[in-house]
Amino acid sequence: MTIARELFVRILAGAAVLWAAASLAFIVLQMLPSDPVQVIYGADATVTPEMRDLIRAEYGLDRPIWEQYGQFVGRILQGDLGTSYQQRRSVVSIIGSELGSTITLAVSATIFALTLAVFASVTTAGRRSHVRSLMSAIELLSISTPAFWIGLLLLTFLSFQWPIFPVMGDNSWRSMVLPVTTLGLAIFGTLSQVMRAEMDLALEQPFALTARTRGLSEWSVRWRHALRHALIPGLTISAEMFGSLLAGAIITERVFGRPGLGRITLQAVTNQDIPVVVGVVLFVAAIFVTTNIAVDLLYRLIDPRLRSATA
Amino acid sequence: MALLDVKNLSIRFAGRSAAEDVHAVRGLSFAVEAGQCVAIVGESGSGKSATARALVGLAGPNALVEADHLLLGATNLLAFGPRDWRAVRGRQIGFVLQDALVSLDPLRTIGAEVGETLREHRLVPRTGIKPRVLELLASVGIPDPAQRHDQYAHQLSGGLRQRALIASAISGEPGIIIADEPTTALDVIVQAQILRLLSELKADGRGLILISHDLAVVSRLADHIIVLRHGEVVEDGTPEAVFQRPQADYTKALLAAIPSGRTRGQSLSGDAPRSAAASAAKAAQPVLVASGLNKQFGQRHVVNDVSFTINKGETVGLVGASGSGKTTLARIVLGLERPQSGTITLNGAPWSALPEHRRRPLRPRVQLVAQDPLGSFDPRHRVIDIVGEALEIIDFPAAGRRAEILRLLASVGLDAVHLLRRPRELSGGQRQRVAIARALATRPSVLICDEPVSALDVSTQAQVLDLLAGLKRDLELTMLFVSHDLGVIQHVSDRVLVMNDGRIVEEGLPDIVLEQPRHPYTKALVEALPRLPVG
Repeated sequence: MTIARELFVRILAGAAVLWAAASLAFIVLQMLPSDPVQVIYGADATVTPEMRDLIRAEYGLDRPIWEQYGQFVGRILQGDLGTSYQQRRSVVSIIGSELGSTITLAVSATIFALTLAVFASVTTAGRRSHVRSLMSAIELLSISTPAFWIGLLLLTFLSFQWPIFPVMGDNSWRSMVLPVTTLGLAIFGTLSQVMRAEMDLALEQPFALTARTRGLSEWSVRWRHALRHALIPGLTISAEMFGSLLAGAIITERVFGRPGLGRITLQAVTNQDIPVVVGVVLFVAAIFVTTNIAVDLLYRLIDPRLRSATA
Repeated sequence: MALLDVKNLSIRFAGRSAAEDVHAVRGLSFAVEAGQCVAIVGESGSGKSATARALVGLAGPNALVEADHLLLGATNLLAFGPRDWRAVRGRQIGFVLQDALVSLDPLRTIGAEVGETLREHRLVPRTGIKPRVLELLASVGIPDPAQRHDQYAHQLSGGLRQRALIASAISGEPGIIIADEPTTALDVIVQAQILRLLSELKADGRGLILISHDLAVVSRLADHIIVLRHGEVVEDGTPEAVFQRPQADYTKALLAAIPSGRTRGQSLSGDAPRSAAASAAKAAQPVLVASGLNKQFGQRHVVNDVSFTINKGETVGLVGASGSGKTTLARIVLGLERPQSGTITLNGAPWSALPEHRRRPLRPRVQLVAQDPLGSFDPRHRVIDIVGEALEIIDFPAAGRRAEILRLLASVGLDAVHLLRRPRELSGGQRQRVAIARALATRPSVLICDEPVSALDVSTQAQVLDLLAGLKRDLELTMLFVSHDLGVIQHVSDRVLVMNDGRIVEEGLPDIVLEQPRHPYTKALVEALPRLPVG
């Protein structure tokens, strides 16, 4: 199979995943016990039957269920995720306004974690030393400590005790440092463990011995040979974590008082603002699908064996 | 002056206490002259690979390397630090590993791998690397260097990968080449080509240290042979002396253990004297009959119009290079692969044509002994489970199972001690014995042996071959014996099939086929076979 054809198949499969996610969201929406009209007016308001009919007609809730489904899917295809019950703005514009901040945070945190993990695995793989034990301990700590706790500790020391970085806000690179560190540390542990395990394996392989017999220094063997092998699982995990950071940075965003997808998701869930919830679900699913396709393409760049396997 | 002079070398791997130290090598001395080849021969655990690595300072962080002296020209290698060693590796000593898919980095191009020494030691300017690599690839006999330069290890055949490894080792024009099992895993014809290439390097005036488990392989190249066993030198001399007048019992046993046409019907391991095999000329009674088998994978005709018969009590040897189709043929006989046309009958009844649900109850009649039992056993099963499972399949009464397992183990030379061992706790030879016991448990009509001794040391191979010969005699076993090793085939077979490109190109008695081959492919195979210069 050529790359173009493989890519085409992957995109089709991705579209199917999105369609399934949308349908599932629709079904769940139908099964919810809450009344959309009540949500739109607020729980305390009394709604007359006439107003109720008006609202139902406006949101298309009076149509048969399959027609509602058709419209729902049709709107999504046009890039319309509906209108928020609460804010009376389109869901697309709500997500759009918060997206920049979240993406910046997730991208920076992933790059930070990946850099740290590369450094940690290159320096400690294949060795039995105190540095390695120390690094393993740090990784374990990072995996087992909740992100909000790391965030609070960082705030306590680097903002309150010694005011190096701002407590909250979203205006300069300085305000990024603490949230990025918090999120990055949370994913660094797993990433580093997996990459080091792979690098341990690579350094045991005959090609590493061959490279050493050419007179390569230990450093070169690690950077030129072993690292590339470790990047393969490293990328898989980074991609997955990047996806979950987009939707899962809620706590960190709250701790540092940053705008972002997490904040609007939280608001939408508490207020039963269904269109926004569904919009975020679909958006995150789309991000997962695209990063996965991108990672598959990257694999081919890194591992030539995959190129001919499908040729 | 010798290129390399080793006096009283000892390599010790430090354990947690002095008692746990492992002495890999003791008291090894030799000298390598320009244009000469020293061969170090030994079985696994003999310390030969540890020696090779110690000579480039890569014996490992736990290794203690000591010697009266270790001189490279006039330089004392014992005083070397890491930086000194790096300057020597690739520049003065080149190292060739056994071909494995991963002896070259699978993620980098052949060009990047072969050019690495040039780049690291800055031997040529950056722009000069590619032309020099192309020259090197051409000089080791790689056709189409420009195309190969940009390919990856998995796109090359085993022989080409081995050549690329050699190109990489000679790129820094070292005076000494260490080749560690350079032809293991290659088939005979390619092996002969690689040995020729190594002898050209020797003729160019390089000193060669050849490490091998195979006396026959080194016999062509070596000017001096050292036989190691458990880290100690047991034999040391010119090839003539070693082969004609071996001093040590171990060397004699090693030489006697090498299977060939001359050893047929004789014991190889020497511990089970046998009467000359009575190849009783009974009326031939066909057990397995294959006719007109064909199998294509895409455009490739992997099995092409193959017909043969195996008679009761007969061992048919199937020999061919890798890629000749012999493994696919074995899979068709096992009923794991369906031929596109042609049939196999078993004891006169249909076999290959049966639908799977009707073949499954008959499967105990055709059993397999594979090359690597470690891979074909469940690592968590104990020997009793492995053999017991086969008995369960044939509904052997549960009450008598334990006794039957013991009887089967006894027949392959194992006993109750081994019942509770897991595969990893057995040696390679013991594992292969368990595999044979498991295969025999169902009392098969035909036993398929697919390279059953290829992963074993010569002396273990001898024991397993003797075991099979004994079982064949006692149980009237009918076998299809698949191997790439002509010597093994000639030793075990009553009849030989030679396979090339999916076809049986020659068939007949082993002596006739392998001593007076008619087909050009068989001739090439036989010529390529390294032979011992013994009378």
